[in-house]
Amino acid sequence: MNRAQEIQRDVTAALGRPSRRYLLLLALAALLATGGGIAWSYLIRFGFHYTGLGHPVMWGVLIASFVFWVGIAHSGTLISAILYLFRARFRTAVYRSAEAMTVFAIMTAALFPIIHLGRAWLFFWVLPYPNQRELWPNFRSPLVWDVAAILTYFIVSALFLYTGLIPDLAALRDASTGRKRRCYALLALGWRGTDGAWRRYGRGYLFFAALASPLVISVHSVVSWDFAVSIVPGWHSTMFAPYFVAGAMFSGVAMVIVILAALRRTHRLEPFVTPWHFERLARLLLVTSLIVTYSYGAEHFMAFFGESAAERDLFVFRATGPYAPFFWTMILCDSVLPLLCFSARVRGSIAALVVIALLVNVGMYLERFLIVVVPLAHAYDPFAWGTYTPRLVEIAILAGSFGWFAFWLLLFVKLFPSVALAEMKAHVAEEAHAG
Amino acid sequence: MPGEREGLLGFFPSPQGAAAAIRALRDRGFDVHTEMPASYAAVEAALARPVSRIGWITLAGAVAGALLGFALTIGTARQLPLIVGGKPIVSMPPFLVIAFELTVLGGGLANFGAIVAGALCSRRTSPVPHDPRASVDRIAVFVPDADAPVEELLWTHGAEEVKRCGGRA
Repeated sequence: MNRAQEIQRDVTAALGRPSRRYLLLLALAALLATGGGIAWSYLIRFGFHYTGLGHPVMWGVLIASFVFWVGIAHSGTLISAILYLFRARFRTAVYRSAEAMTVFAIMTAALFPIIHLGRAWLFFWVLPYPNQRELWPNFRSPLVWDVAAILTYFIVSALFLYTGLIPDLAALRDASTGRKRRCYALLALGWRGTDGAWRRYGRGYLFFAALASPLVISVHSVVSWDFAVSIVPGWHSTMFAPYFVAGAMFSGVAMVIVILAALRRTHRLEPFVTPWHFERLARLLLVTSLIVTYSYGAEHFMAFFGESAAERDLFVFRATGPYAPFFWTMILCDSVLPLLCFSARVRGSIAALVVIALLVNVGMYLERFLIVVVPLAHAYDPFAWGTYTPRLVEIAILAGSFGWFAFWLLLFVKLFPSVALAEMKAHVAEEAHAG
Repeated sequence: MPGEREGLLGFFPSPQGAAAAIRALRDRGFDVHTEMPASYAAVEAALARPVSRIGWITLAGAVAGALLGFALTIGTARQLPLIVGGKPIVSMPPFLVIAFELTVLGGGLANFGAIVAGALCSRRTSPVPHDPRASVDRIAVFVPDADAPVEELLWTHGAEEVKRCGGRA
């Protein structure tokens, strides 16, 4: 058996009959998602009174979750597109699961603005279509930019993922029989791997990466402008776009580490996803953590040396007020703990990296929560100051979003190869020749 | 398959062997075609095909997306001229955001369409008789209308199987 056959055998071994443990996980994810759906239906039926939202904090967990999930999506495109352009070699074994994570994270993120509408059945009003009301969306609003950005990101990421899958689907088609073969044949779109097809594919994939790279930066910039184009202290900052993009990469890399560590165990991908890959991801985590830490410092610097007393007061409130435990947890998880990745021993330990990555995601969720809630709670007018406490229904929807994400990801890794077969075969052949 | 022709089909386990065979065949003026499970740099270098012009289709899609973005935003703003936040009716900064997103979307859709259309077209016109092994772990090198010297060349460069394949022209 040659190396290409071994790769095919090992990667596709996980695509067989689902184990009991897999079915249990899938059921758990479906249960969580259903719980979130029930909570949402409760909101639709009884109204947003049952959330913690109210004057002055009109945006809470739902919007923070939207920003969080868009951020998670970014790392997939960072790894699959941006690192492709930089020819980073460690990308090959990890980018498929990262790109799948992008698509499902965007599907999750897109739910939250719709939930937050309240009258979710009217969501289509944001789309530009001729109507008897003679109305068009206001394209000067960042909320409409969000629609364009998120839709574009979803479509382009899904096409990018699918394009990368096509040669692998053809390999699965030719290695399968019966109904499986017919399904893979349909999805493989008749791919034959001819030299002409590969020539166009290679060039097309390069252009996809070139398109996706500025897209990923623009999408979270657009999401950040939901806040930055307002006049709320703590939101109205020119720093928001790079701040959000850096934070997105950071939280996304952390999620990739967690997902890859899990997949590596369940799919027996140890020969492909090695400690070396995690070491490289740990370096990426460290770099993005340092950028995010610098951003925290910069925003405090601008607040304390800037003209706005309200903004200065806001930052003191955030660090010393009722949300102080969240703030200091965020600093610990996002700025302090990732410094452990300076240690080669920590970078070499997958278990340590998973723990750090999980805490980073906790810290980054808290960061999004603090960005959304605290400036609204403590804006210009002291008589309008208030607080926000999420209610059970919002927590249930947040938990449900994790279930929704996990459900689609689990389906994907059971039906499709979670390591790129074609690229892996080419990569291994090149290494063998170079060796 | 419609484009298949009669000729010799050699299967190689390694891209280096296939690349050496392709170079030797092309040096002798033979027309060579391949099917392979991955994009092996050595084989593509040996084939020395011209760079694909798919980028022009991607560019056309991106330009169409940009034009659509500006047309949509400017056209709808002029049709419903609401003054919002003191901003001009036709405001370039926000409209640039929409136009940028539609540029990327147009380019992405055109790119994907071109890749798929190219693969389907290649499938119809390729003279290589399809063998499932070429999708999994073997590089199939096909020389249409070939004879004994070609077979010898293929064996010499490490082919593990060489067979004559008949097909409709």
